Amino acid sequence: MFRRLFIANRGEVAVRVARAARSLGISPVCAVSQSDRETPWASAMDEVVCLGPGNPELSYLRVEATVQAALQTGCAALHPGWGFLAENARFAALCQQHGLTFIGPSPSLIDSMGLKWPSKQAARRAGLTLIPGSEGLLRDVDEAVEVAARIGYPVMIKADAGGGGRGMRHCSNEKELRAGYAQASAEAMGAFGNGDLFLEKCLQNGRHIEVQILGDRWGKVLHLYERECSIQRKHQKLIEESPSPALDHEQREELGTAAAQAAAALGYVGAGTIEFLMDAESGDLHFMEMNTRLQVEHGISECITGVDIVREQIRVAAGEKLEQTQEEITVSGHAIECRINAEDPTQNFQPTPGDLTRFQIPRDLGPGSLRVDTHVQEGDTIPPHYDSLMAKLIAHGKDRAEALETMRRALDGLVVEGVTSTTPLHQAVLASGEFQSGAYNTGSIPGWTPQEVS
Amino acid sequence: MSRPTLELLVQRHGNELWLNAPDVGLFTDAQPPDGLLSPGDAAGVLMILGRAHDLLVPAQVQGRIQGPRSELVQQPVDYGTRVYCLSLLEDELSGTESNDSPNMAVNEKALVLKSPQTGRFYHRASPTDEPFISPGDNIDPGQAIGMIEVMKTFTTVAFSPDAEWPNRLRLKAWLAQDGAEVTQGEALIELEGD
Repeated sequence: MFRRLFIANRGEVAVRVARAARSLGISPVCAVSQSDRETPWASAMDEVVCLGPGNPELSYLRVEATVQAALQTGCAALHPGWGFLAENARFAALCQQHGLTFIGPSPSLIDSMGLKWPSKQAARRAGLTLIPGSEGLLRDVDEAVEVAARIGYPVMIKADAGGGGRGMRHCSNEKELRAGYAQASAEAMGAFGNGDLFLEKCLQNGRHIEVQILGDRWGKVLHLYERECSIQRKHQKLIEESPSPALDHEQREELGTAAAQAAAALGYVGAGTIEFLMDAESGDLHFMEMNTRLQVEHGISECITGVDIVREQIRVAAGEKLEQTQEEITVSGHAIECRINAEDPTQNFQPTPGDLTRFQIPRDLGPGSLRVDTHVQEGDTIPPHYDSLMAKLIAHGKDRAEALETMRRALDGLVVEGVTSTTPLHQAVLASGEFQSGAYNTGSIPGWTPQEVS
Repeated sequence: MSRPTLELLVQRHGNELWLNAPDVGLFTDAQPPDGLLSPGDAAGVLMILGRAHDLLVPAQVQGRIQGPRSELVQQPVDYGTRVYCLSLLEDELSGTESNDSPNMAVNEKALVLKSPQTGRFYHRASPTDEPFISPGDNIDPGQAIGMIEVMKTFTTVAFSPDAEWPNRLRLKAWLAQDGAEVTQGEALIELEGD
């Protein structure tokens, strides 16, 4: 096992990884930016290395400086967390070249899962169902029109190298498709240097359901069941729960098995997530993408399965075997997570950095248990450089009703002052009939009237 | 082929100037104590992933190296680690004082638009776009003049003139550069009337 582990990240995930490292007797060393250097979470590390100023491009995103920092502090392995360099294949390769174990899958797997079409091909080869669409990249606009006529409108054109909505167009008819094709291709060419497009049927009001995967170097792949992440705003998840209220026992087992087999076919090592879109009409689950890293919402899977995903990530990276069998991993109760962000949900989710004058989370209100993953404390300043996540409340109950009641009490008792938080949004969603019944989807946020101010 | 260079960071500390490492790496070939350092001098080497970078003394920095030389060969340093402490020569003390405030001097009566938020300020909507405005352009109330990025969220900065300002205003100069980090209330642009 490693003696020292370098954490190439900050804030909440850095704290989470450090906790797992210490549980294995590993000393955590963390990258920091100048503006994070004096934070309480940074002082909880055994050592920190300052990579540069607060702007992430000058610190947390610097590939060479990060590797050098890990080497000169005597670390044998590096955990990239999520965001920043976590899905940067070149970074993973550089770590390996310098003898650092990158905690994640191989650089080539990260690379192929980063491009949309290769990842879909790999998923199809591994036996997963794709969203109906083109058989590969489109040759020209005429082929796009032909495919759209076959599968039916509305359709989405997407860029192979896409991300952040660029090179993406929603088309309701042939006229829009002909107009959108050239625009999307030019936009993708400009943004990514790759104008290749493919086309998919646009599935509206679907559900986002993802499966947590863990693989070791000895060919074993386990799944930790699914997470339901349909409460989103602009593709940012707000509330997640596990198991999904949309699946029955049989579907749950089937989906988990299919995902684990696909990951095994890819030779997957480490923690990963396969994301599916559930068709609102047919109930079919279509492969969307695979994330080759730890996810923010991993905690709910840990609650219901009892598996420490981060600890297992580190263990398998060190070459150890996953000890459990799939049969030993069972769903115990229900877990739900609310992300408490420094954003004002009544003002178009405007970020609200500033001084956190009061921050108190009551942890003993029952009826289930509450886990709090956070890196901030009362008196901290929320800096403007980074994302707005302040804390994740994770409620675990013996069933869904108990998990919801635990979360409701925690939200009611939560005190956040100095910055505006997303707490009222969570309270409204939990109070809504749609959420309580489990009948919700990615189309809207139940219980919350959008007050989008532009 | 010459070696890559990096400029040392400067920090004023009373009557001393501290020269700090500009990056993460192994610091070696330090200059000995009591030596003089002048702008442009090579003052040691920083090894980054096995590659040597000459560390240069920045402009307007001159002084005598104080204190014991580092005992370590290939000393691990991070961004901002102090590698030299210089005692300033008497005649420099007054000279460096004025360099303390990096902000351009803007006279009190100048018409400046201040930043509504703390974040990063951009002159354009995306790197490939033209700037929203250029010096000499007329600017109307409500017009977009730039974007502020706070926690990955971009907000347009709309021009809202003070009531007592002239009706017709032009952009005189950018006071915050494209991509600069700004704090709330910091001047973004300077305007001029007819």
